Amino acid sequence: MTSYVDDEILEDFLIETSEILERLGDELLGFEKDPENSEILNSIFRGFHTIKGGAGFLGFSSLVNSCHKLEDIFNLLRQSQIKIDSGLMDLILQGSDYVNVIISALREGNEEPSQDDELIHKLNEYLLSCHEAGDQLVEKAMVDVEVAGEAFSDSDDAELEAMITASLSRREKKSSGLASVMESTEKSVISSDSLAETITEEEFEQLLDTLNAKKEDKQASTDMTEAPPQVTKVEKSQSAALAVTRKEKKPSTVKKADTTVRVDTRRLDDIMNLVGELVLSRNRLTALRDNFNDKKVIQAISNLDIVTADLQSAVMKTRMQPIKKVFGRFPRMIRDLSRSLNKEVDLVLLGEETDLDKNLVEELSDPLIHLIRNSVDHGIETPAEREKKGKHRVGKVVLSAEQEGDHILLKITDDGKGLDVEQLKIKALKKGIISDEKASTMTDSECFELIFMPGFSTKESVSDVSGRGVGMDVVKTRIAKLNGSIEIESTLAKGTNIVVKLPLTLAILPTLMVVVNGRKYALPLSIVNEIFELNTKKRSVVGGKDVILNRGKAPPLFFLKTWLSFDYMMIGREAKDEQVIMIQAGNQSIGFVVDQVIGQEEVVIKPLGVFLNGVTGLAGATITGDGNVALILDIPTMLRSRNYH
Amino acid sequence: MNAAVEVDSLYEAQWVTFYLEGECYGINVMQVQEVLRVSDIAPVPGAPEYVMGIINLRGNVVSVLDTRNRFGLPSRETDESTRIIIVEMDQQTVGIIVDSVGEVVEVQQDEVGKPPNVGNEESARYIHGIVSREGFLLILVELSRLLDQDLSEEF
Amino acid sequence: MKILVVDDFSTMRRIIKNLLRDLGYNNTEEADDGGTALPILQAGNFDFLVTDWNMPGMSGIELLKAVRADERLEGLPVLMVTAESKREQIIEAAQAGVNGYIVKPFTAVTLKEKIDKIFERIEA
Repeated sequence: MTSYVDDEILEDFLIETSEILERLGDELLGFEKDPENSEILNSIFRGFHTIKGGAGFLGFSSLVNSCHKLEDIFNLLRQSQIKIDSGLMDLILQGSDYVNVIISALREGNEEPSQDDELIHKLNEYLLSCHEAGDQLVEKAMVDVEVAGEAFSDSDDAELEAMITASLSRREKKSSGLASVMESTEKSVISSDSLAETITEEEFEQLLDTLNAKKEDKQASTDMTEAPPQVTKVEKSQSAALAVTRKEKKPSTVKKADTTVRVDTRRLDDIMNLVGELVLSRNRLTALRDNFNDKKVIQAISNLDIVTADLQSAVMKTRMQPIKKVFGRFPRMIRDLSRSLNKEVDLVLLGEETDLDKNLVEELSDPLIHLIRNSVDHGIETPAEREKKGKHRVGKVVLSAEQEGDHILLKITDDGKGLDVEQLKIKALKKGIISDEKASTMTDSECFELIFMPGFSTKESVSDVSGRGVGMDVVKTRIAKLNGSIEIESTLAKGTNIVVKLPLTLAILPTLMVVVNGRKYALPLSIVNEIFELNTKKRSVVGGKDVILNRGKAPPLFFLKTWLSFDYMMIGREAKDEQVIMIQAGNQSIGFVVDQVIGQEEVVIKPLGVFLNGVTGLAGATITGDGNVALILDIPTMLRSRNYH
Repeated sequence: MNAAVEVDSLYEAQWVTFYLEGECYGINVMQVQEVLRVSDIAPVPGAPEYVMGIINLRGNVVSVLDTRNRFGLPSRETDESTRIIIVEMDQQTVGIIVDSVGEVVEVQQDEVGKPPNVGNEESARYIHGIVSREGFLLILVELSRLLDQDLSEEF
Repeated sequence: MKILVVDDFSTMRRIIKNLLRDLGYNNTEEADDGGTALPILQAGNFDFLVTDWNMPGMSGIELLKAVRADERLEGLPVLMVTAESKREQIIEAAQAGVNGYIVKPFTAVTLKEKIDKIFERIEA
């Protein structure tokens, strides 16, 4: 590889290409829906063209060749020389998938994968077959194969020359010189530009000579004056078309170049960590505020408080990415899924511009993929079934995102068959997940929760779509790990609605600080429903377990003390001045007794390190305002690890 | 300053000595970040037995290992001389708690003898070598083994 | 010599700038399409323009025409970067007043030859 290609350029190329590919993914689906849209067609054409150009410099021959074929196909498409059909669409998607495969391999630091000969062959076949009058194209395709095979592997100048000469020699049979140049000008104006022949250096030099001479000599020859007007005509219509796109596109392009900077995400992580430290220092100072008598000091601390909060949200914003990054891959997924399942599904995406933390965007991808697959696979009926039920044969899946306070709500709604409560119960009984007694007392929403239980799957046979070993329980665990929650509503024969609630960021967590045995613990505020004093409510023991009577119900009551010391021999113990925190875990409300409630505090989550990775029930630790360490409790996994569901 | 110390230079290096149950041990000075007095160690419910808890080290959460537990020695209340030695290995910062810290000694390569086959098994697996001087026995600790979590799973 | 490099693909701009640097041309600036390039050209004293053909917004050929239509820029040497040496395209560019073209991918040596040839012709 030559000197101009350093690692930085390679990295830039890969980042930029990934962005183009992401855009191309959207555009390809847009194109399938609206195949006549010339703006999309031109943009797709240009996308592959751009990647090809860069890849050539970097010596990625498979990439050059694949993009080249796709570019050729889109050139024919945008000139309306061929029409799209599902076979061609599959071929195009296959091609663009392969380009993605190459880029991912390169991004992972691997060698460029070797050319997918079968794919290239198919693309070639297609290009050859679709052009009836295309002996020129045949010629071109042949040259391309040679070129990609040899010339690009080593960007030696001689080989480039050879490649130009090779294409020239094919044409040498025809007459050369200016006459033929001008003659073919007329011809190529009429024919499409993708089929135009290539020009040699000599011909170009001759052309410049003639044009110069013409400029000097006012009396132009007749064949000279004839050719240009035709060219200008094409130019005019081209530039008119371009002017239209320019009007729409230019402002954003110009703005982008002027005002954005590419920043390594690691640097953003560092900044976020530093802001976290600042938040801690601020917390520490705020805790000490009462020790100061000086009004000015107190004022200064208050200012610091405000500025820190602003800085925190400003930095958080730099890490925000539109959820479109995840949503973007779903149209394609649904397309492939519905084809393989012989279903017809319309996917509606709402709120794609909703921003959330970059890390969250990445972590969310897998759970959402699973949920959507699930909706299409288990929810949406076949077209025949749907028609029989009087529904529109095309099923509908709506995926929406919206911000609600410091949370993001993601909803996946389908108009499929819904969850059958009775069948869920039968299944759960059969699998031994619930008892007969429990089954008879379960509410509908408790039944829906069953699908999040390990080992539960609503379909008898495992399809290759949503089977694959990961169940909804994994989805739930993943969401819980992100300090989020997942809820499910369903109406039989009408459809299912899944709501995922997530914090905007992972780095800073709003918590409730409590004291147990003289130590501070932090509980994620998102799961806290209610706080009251223990002795204001009536307690009772039911089935050997403590319960507390609250709002007409008797939820179980636990002493956090016993959970933290693994000493369960304290049932029915006496307590004074203690506080109860009602916690929402799934559909269940549970009371936890703590010694004291300090109040809300935003904390920075610190990892516990390798020695404590396996400890369940903890989400991490944080440094409190007084400089001590407090554990952040993860109540749902704590309940699970203590065998309480 | 990290764990990537050449094996050869390990022998010729300086060692920080510490005491456990009256015995003198040494850790390569290159692996020691600092020595702290014992402050507040927050216990972690459900943690492995050999993890005493976590501390705040300038805004970072660091685990503190119970070296006595690791060496199969009876546990002991902390006192005035108890110290936490902060060590760094494989980019993990960990504290190990010891009865007291001695001094820094220089050890020549030819002074280091093979670990004896006596003593309890738990401690033997963490021993790198023995330095025997007049009236003074120094046990060199193989930190990578002491900090190996997989090894501890066997207990 | 002050050179403006115009391409919508920033990786490509960097590659071209590196190649130019290898040839000893350190005074380069960038623009991401014809629309951004034109005001930059009009504002600064550029001695040479390297532009891609295929760009969203204002394409290379349009930029070329705009340059030739501006009396202050009329004489600016323009090297057009193309993906293929398509006859029809090159003729169009030649008629619009391009000084040379170069086909991607290319090396520093080729680039130097092209630039030299352009100045040879201008000086002749």
